[in-house]
Amino acid sequence: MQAKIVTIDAASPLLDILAARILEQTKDNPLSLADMVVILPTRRACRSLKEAFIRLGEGRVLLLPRMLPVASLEDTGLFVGESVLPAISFLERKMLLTRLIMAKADVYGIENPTPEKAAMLADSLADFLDEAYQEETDLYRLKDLVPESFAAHWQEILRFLQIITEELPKILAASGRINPAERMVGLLTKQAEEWKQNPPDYPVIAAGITGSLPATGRLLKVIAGLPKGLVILPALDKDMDEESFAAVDASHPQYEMKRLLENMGLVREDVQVWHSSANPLFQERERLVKEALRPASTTDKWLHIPPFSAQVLENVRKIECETVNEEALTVALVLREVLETPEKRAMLVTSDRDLAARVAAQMKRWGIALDDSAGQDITETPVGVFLRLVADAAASGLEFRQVLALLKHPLAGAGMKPTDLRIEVRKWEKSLRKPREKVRHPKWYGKNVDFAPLVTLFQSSSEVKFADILRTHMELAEALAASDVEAGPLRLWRGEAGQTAAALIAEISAAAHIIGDINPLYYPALLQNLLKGNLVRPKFGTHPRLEILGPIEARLQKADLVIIAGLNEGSFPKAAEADPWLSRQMRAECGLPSVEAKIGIAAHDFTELFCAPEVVMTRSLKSGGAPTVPSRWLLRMDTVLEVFALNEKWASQNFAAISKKLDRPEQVKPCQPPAPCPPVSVRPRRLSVTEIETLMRDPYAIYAKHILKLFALEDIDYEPGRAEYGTVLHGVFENFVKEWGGKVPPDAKEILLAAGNKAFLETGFSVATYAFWWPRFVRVAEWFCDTMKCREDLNIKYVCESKASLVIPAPEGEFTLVAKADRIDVNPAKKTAVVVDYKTGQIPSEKNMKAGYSPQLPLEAAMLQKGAFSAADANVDAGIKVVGMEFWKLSGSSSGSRIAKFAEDKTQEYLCQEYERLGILIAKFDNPATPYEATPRADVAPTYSDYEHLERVKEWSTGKNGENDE
Amino acid sequence: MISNQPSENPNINQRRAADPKASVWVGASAGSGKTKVLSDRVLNLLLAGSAPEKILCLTFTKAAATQMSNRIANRLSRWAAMPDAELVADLMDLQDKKPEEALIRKARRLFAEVLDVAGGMKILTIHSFCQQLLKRFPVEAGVAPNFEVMDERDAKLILKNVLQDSIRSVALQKDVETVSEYIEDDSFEGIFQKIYAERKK
Repeated sequence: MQAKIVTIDAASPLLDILAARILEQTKDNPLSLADMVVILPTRRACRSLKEAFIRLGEGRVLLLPRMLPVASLEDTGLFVGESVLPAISFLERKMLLTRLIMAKADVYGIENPTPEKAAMLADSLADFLDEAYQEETDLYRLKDLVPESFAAHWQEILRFLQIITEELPKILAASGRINPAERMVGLLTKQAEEWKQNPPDYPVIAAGITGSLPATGRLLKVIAGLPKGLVILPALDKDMDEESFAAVDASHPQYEMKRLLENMGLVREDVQVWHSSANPLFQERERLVKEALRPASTTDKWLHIPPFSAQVLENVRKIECETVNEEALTVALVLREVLETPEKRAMLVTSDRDLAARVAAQMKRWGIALDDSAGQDITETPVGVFLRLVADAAASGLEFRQVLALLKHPLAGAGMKPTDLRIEVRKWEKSLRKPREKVRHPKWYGKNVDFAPLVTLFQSSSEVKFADILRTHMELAEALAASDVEAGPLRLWRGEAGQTAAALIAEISAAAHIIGDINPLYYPALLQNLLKGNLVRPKFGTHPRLEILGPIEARLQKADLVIIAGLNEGSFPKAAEADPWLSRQMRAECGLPSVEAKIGIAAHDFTELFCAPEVVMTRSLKSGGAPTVPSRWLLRMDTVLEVFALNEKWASQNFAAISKKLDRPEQVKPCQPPAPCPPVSVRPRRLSVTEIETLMRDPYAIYAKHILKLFALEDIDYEPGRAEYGTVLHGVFENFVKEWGGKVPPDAKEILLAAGNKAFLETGFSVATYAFWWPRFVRVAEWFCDTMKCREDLNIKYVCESKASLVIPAPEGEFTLVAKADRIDVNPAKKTAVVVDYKTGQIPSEKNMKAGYSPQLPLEAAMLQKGAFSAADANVDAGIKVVGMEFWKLSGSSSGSRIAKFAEDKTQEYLCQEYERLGILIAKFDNPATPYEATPRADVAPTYSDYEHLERVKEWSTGKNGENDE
Repeated sequence: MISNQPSENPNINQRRAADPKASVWVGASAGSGKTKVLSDRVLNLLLAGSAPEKILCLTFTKAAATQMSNRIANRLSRWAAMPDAELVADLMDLQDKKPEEALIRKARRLFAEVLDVAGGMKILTIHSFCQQLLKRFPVEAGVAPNFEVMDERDAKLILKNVLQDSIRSVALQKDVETVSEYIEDDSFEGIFQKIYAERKK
């Protein structure tokens, strides 16, 4: 190793070559390996270098060099750690900033400073602070920035920034601690000084670091100057012309490298080529991506560069998919295909975590477990969700829906066997969803769990100590997580997510006093915010040959095939968000890099990934329903290729087409309307008159109700409304008529209203529902009074809610028809009667009455005439004649109520007709060949049915009329 | 500039509308080239030396913004790659005059310049423009700069909860009693949703 500062091309595997060269150098003295120090960009790179050593060592027992990730020298306990002040943890600093913002929100002009909002602002301030320390910007210089045109605005921002320029430093100084970024810079600086003063006699190698922080630059410079030092820069472009290199700006892949060289006081000529791929294919591919990404100001040279060979796109595929989901499936297919080749390894690199999760889900098709190594947010893990549900349930005062959601979580045990708890909870839910159940009480089924302490804290009218709520919250969560055989903490904090959550909660709890008192209602959101952003990473890869990584983790990682997915603007590269605190110009004056520097770093990552042996690039044309803009790097490559008419040469292989076909059936066969044909022995022998109507209009509903015995459950958040109003009307009028008979007392209206009011209150209408229905009730009651008054006739006996049952002989044995009449007005002297039905909905049309689709009232009349109503109720002997039918339309809108009457001749006609039809209908369903069809006639189908989804009406009703796809 | 006369050659009116020196109001039926006129205006501005970050294009829909971005990028990409003769012809078509050598070079570089522009070329929906403003001025706006925009699902859930709360609100009692007389029995359930939907307009 002669040269002190070198570079390696993007196509070559830096870590493998490094391991090989180190082994070669130390082959005579393997013990010297242990003295060596290798500094790498990430922890993951350290692990990969270790694996490379083991692979190349071929089973030999090796001592390994000390391998350190550059950003966390402090974790290694090595070197100069003690000489730099300890750092406050990120979480504690966030809590401190949150408190500082809340305490002086009015001073800073922050409106509605909820703790959650304060915590979000704290994040933003912390990011700014970290960047300032990393770039070694003196925060006191902020004051000297005077953007004249926005002076007033700037003064306001400056006042707010005092939180980090004055208040936080004071508090940290008092506790003898510093900011995390300050400590990182301090460590790098001290280490550089230490090595400069006392150059070590062992080799020190810094490999693959692009980091351009001033402190990193100083350290690398010192390493390059050590007697046995070596700095390996990843893919420094030595071939770029001077004009272009000078024009390299923040969004260019070489920007970090350029800054690094500047910080080290070097030029590109000082850097030797350490290794370069000899494969012309890779050389050509690297030239393509470098050309494509050249600085904008020299892109007019594209027309004058040497042409690319046609092989430049060999082993590169570009796949454009319609949607993100199709992209995920396509990527999964590519990964699956890799497994067909023994030993072949692939990695998916994307900065879109949603896409990564979709790919992982698609891999399950083939039973392949593949976790996203970039990790999962703690708040999205089961334990994170459980903690939130506990807080939400208690904060809602144990509102039954919240409690239900909590108890259905897999971690809930409540001291019971979890499966038993689940059974109990299901029973409880069913009782809550029983149709027309009037009173609901959330009922608690667990043992050893006391919600009261947490609920009481949430109901406190004054502010409560954050620490107290947190402690009580955790106590409740642990108690709820307990099963019959395992303690709560054991079940709750189990596994990688559980351990991470436990550590975070411990950290928050140790610093909880900082937050102080808060309005308890803000607690759930605040805790959620403090936890959010902390990732749970799987400790080990879940698959030996496949990986899902983010671009940063993927640095220096190599695989036979690399998939770069989500290549859209906003995803890769991510948009450079404007700095909320300083304008571009002010950042420059402060010595902060442009926000586009992050795009430059991503561009360097992309360049390296694009030089893998085999590359697949994917993007989706639409995301969230909106069209996307392709990644700028793709557009640039397309444009360069266009110059040489190679643009159409991208290989795409038909993966997108395959993924489209994968889930499509060969042929679409819409299902037929169901027409079950159960044996006659299970068919109902007893139906009500209203069910006869259903049997005519929608036989399947009778099948589902009486043979399958299925009943709809109410929505969990069902609100009493129209149906309950109808019940109240019927009940009130029934009672009134029962009590007063044909008489209408002078205070009839008051009596009705009093009865109505009582029934309304019992029903439990909400305020507005009450307000809507009550005036309607009043109007109906008034109309009812007036109408009854008009026909006051003391000879008439009013019979209410009388039940009837009539046995009808049928082919397969007796059939029982039952009915309950709203009211029968009997004239005992004349032996005549009129059947009355109250309707809050539509009155049957004349047409349907004639056609027999509204048989309810005629059948009741027929039953009455045949003496089916019990004599005691009817107060008459058999032989009574029905001389009329009346629908009383009870409408709440003004003057909407009316009576639809059928005179004696019509009544007798319909009565005979319906009774005859009924016999035919019963005989029809006594025939085992008669199916229970779903709404056989669309024009008389009921407007609403509980069984519509079982009948799959939407599927076949469109299939019937719609055109076939193929 | 007012021109209600459909010209013999539609390109002439389009070209006049695409001249950035004139303030114009363009109304035309779908598919007649409004987006082309807008994109041409942007191209003319860029060729005239306007910095890409100083051009703001607002649209009503995300689809329109994306379409415009992609259209501009495609045209610029072709400029960067096409032979001189074709580029000259295309620039003449746009500007109706023979381009100078410097303009040709500038046209070639615009593709990458626009892609790399600091903060991105601002072709935005009104919504995202406002969001950017709020993020840039958090203290003035009284929001945290790292706020996220609620997605439709969350919004629906919150709306549902608000509706459920509002039917319990005593403040509404009088109003509901008043309207009760004028609406049908079956319209109560949906009336809050309807009121909300109207409010948005």
